[in-house]
Order: sequence, then structure tokens, then C-alpha cells
Amino acid sequence: MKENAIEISHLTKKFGDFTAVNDISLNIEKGEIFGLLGPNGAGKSTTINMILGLIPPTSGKILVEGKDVAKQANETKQDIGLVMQETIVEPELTAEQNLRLFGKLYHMSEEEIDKKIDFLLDLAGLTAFRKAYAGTFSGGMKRRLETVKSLIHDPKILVLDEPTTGLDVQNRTKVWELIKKINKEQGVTILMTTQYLEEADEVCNRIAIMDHGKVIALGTPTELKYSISKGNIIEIATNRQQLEEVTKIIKKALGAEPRISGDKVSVSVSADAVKKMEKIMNALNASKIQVHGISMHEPTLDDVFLKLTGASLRDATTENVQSSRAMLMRGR
Amino acid sequence: MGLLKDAYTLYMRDMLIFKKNWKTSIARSLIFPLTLILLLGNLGTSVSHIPIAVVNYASSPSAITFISQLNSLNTLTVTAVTTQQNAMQLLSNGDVSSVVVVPSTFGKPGSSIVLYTDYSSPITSQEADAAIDQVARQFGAILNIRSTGVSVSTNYVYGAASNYKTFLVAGIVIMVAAFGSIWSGGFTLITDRQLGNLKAFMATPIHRLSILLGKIAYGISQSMINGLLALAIGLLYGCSIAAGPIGIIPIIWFAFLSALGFSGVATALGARINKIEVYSLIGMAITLPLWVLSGAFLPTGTLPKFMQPFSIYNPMTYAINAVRDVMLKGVLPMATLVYYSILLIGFALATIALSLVLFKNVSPV
Repeated sequence: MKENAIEISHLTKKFGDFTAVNDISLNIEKGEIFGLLGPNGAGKSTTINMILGLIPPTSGKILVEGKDVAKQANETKQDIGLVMQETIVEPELTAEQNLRLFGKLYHMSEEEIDKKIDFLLDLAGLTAFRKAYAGTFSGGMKRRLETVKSLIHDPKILVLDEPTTGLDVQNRTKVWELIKKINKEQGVTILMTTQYLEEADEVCNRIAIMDHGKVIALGTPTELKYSISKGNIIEIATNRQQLEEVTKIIKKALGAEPRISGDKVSVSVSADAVKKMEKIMNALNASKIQVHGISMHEPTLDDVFLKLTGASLRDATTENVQSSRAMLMRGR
Repeated sequence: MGLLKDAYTLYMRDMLIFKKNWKTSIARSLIFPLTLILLLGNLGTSVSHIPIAVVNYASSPSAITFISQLNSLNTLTVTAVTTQQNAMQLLSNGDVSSVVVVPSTFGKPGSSIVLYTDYSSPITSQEADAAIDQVARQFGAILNIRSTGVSVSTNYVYGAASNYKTFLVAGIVIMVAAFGSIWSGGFTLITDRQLGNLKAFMATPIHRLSILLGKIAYGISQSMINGLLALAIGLLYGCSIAAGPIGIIPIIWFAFLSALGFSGVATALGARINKIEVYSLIGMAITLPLWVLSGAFLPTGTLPKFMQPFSIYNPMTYAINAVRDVMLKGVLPMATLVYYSILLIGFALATIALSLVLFKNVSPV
């Protein structure tokens, strides 16, 4: 059995009557890249805040590198680096001042900080911008500075909360390269949340999906994908008015239960995918229904997510409003 | 002390940001006192019911009529006092604005009424002088002693250079010092939370309270910069410190105590409020009334009666009185200095204790 960087057992957090995290148990192994996914308000951030020692759990226990967060918060905080969702490098400070501030907050000596700053600026490809104010940086540069800033104290674990939100494709790739490099070359365990499922699929060794404060699925990306479907997924795009009819036709042709999302009807098929596709096409042809597109693909994390939570990861606006409201209420 | 070292690190971060933006920061500190001193420094206003004391050494009925005539004026409220010594005591306590001494020779030609006035309240004193002068002249006419007239000799109790400008500046120095904390220490506490900095700080192994101490220190620094700038503007504009250059020390001391107390208020608010809009609103709701009630613009004696308790329990009143004594009278008795200092330190301890309690469970987001 592998050693664990983080062990979470029976963790629960309640805010008044609202249970944000409901009795979850989870181990994150040393050296792995672990993805925590879930719609807004699922309890990801609350879980991460408890791992960071920012808020106390209602019940349950978290061990970071074998140390209890509730009892040895100062030690566990030294083991964790945090990259937050918002880019929070201070625009009014230079790249160097930003790094130095956190070096001091982690109680490092001036010599240690000096040495580390050289190394980290090089790692982020920002050596030439040492004395430049972070406010003059591009989004990608800020994010890279923010990422290496979290490494100033040599943490064993890096927690990344939505590390690539708001970045364009090119910058996202650069940040991921940096994170993979940190994981590989320095053996830092990575715990991250993201809403880009393709990225999670590509980067993460293991993934946990949370919803309503519970972990509802846990495994490697491949395990998760094949847990919902042994074979492929067929999707038919059509007019909204015809969705019901298409659903009926597919049900009749295959005997399987299709799902509707947006203007698409999808159905997972386990074997003989091509033959089944043909059947569907024939049936649709016979009914003279107008079809905009038809496709077949292997299951993706999106499909897993949709099936398990009933919501696409990115259209959870209502929950977002509710969770920020809940936060304001707590603030009163 | 790790706590203090962490607090210092965070304080220096705020000061680095301040230094980066020093031009805008200084401009912001200047606008407020500059506008107020320039706009209000020359403002006049009419007042009523100015308290005066009258000492009557004359036995003639005309003296009684004279006093009742003074009393019938809307401008004045007359207290009859038997001896001049008692009257002067009332004057130096600030219970009355002027003392009128009616001599035993009142009514005879060449008799002179002696008037003592506290000129540290310029508007009221001028109004009172004018009213008394007017009544005295009337009596001169009735008694037909126009040839010699009744002369009113004015003895200044306090520094002759007193004027409303100095009166106002003393108030403004304390106000900007006190409210500098509200608009810097507490304000950045909330913006830091909104920007996620607070969470990032709290994820490091520093003591939570070092964040609070850093903000208090930052608030006080800002306040002192604001206070000194306001004082400099005032002095350039023609105000004087009656106590001389040494008077700067007690002024700084009382500005510091006010800043300390209000940095506690600011951080207590910042510990519990998430939105900068709400904070600004509450900050305004606290600062504006306190300001007016502290007598920064006008003597607290000119406030309506029901408001006067608010100025008595307003810590700023004492800081402003102290600075006013230094700038206008040139004297601040040790007993008063200690008494006012204890009141203000008590206020600061209470507000900082409150913010310590509230900060214990502060939300990182």
C-alpha cells in the first residue's frame, strides 16, 4: 500500500442547518495528481479550506503528511502550498517582493528566501521580470508567478483551486506544463479542483467527484468513464420540439433509456455500437425526423459528471448564487 | 515574538503598497482637510442662548433693569453670580462664554462695565460681545451720559491670536487622524478578503492575530500622516499653536490616541463585514455624527440640549478639547492631559479588545 499525503476520515462540516461536507473519507497518495471535481456548492472549497486549516471541521479528522490538522496546524501549513482560484499576486508589488512576502510569512531566513527566489523565478520563466510590478504582467505571467509563489517554502503538497480558470488555451497549457514539472521533478503531491474536465482527464492520476457534500465517485479517469458505460455514447442533435419523439424512437429501437440534455438526446451502448447506430439511423429515417447531427464517442468525464450529478459542470449558476448567499449569511 | 514579527511583515507589505502609490495616497490625505479648512475656515454662523455670568456690584435699579434686559435677549442666557471670583471660575471651566462685571458706579457718568470673554469659541464670543455692547449703549442713552458713554473694556482670557480657523483646524487634525484608520486599516482588511489575500495569509503558519495587528499599525500610520498633513495645512493657512512648537508633542499624542481607538473600530468592523459597500456605509454612519457631535466645527455648547450627552460620551470630544487647549490657550494642565489620555486609552483598549474577539473567528473568504 502506498503512503498517503492526505488522509481524510469521516469529515463533516455544517454551517448552521446546512451540511456543506457530509461524512467524507478520502486518501490522497504521495506523489499523485488528484482532482476534486463537482458542481458549485458541492463542498469542494469547504473540504479544501479544512485541509488548509482555515476553518475547523464539525467532526472528522484530516491528516496531512501524518500530522493532524486540528492539532498541528502550523506544521501542516508548512507542508502545503496554495494556488487560489483568483490570481492574487499583489499587483502593486514586484515579482520579487511578492515572493519575499510569503517567504517571510513561512518564517524562512533571508538567505533561504534569496536562494529560493532565484530558483522560482527561473522555474516560472520570469527571471527578467524580477523587479517589475506584477500589475504589469499578463494573465499567464501572473498565474505562473502565483504558482511558483506557493512553492517558496518547499511544500510537499500543492493545493490548486481552479488553477487555469480565465486563462486562454496557450496559457493554460503553460500552467499545466509547470504543474506537471513540479509534480514530476520535485515529487510534490498535487490536489486540484478544476472545471475543465478534459484537463482533469489528461492530467489527473485519480479523480473524486463530489456532489451535495458527498464523494459520489472515485477512481482513475478511465475507471470513472467505463463505470457509466462499457461501450460508447451515441448523441443525436435535433430540434427542441422533436426531442421527445426522438427519445421514443431510440427507446423502441434499442430498448435502452436515452437521456436529454440541451438539444441533444444521448444513449450509452455497451456492445455492437456501429450496428446500434445503424438501427437508430434507420429508425430516424423512417420517421422523417429532422436531425442536425449524429455522433458516437467514447464516454468522457463530462458524461460521467452528467450522469452522476444530473448537471453539467459549467451550468450551475443558480447553485453559485445560493452558495455565495450562504457565505454572506455566514458573514453576518 | 513571532506574532509581532509576522505583524511587522504584513505591516511592511501594506506600507510597500502605500509607497508604490504614494502620490495618490498623499493627495487623498490632503483633499479632505484642505477642502474643509478652506471652505469652513471663514464661515460664520448665528447662535443663541450663549451662557454668560453677570456679577452685580451696583445697587441701583437701573443695574437690575440692565441685567434683565440682557436676559431677555434671545442671544444670551444670564446666570447671576455673587462674586467675580466665582464667575471667573465658571468661565475657566467653560460653563459660561463671558463674564459681565457691573461696577458699583453703574449709572454714573464714566462708569465702565468690564467684560471677560473666552475667545477660544470665536463665533459665540463675538456674538455675545456684540449683544452686551448693544444693551450697554442703550443704557448709556437712557441715563443720559452720552457725553462720556459706557465703555466696555475687553480682557482676553486666552491667547489673543485665537480665531475660528485655529479652532477648526484643531478639530480637523483629530478627525482625520481618527478616521484615517477607518479608511485604511479596516478598508484594506476587507479588500484583502475580497481579493483572496486574507485566505492566502491564513494558509501560512502565522498567528491569525498578526494580520489584525498589522492592519492596526497600518491604520495608525495612515492616520498620523493624515493628521500631520492637516496640521501643516492649517499652519500654512495662518493658524497658530499658542503653546509654541513644543505644543506639537501633545497634538501628536492625542492624534495617536484617537487613531488607536478608531483602528480598533475599523478592524472590528472589517472582521465581520464582507462587502466594501456595506463597510463604507457603516463607516460613514459612524464617522459623520461623531464628527459633528465632537465639536469639531462648532463648540459643543451650541448643540441642541438633547444632543449634548452624545458629545460627552464621544471620545473625540476630549481629544479635540485637548488639542484646542494647546492651540488656542497654550496651556494644558497635567491633570487634564492625564484625564483625557486615560479616557482615550480606555476607549482604544475597549475597541481593540472587541476586534480581537471578533477576529478570532474571522472568515477567510
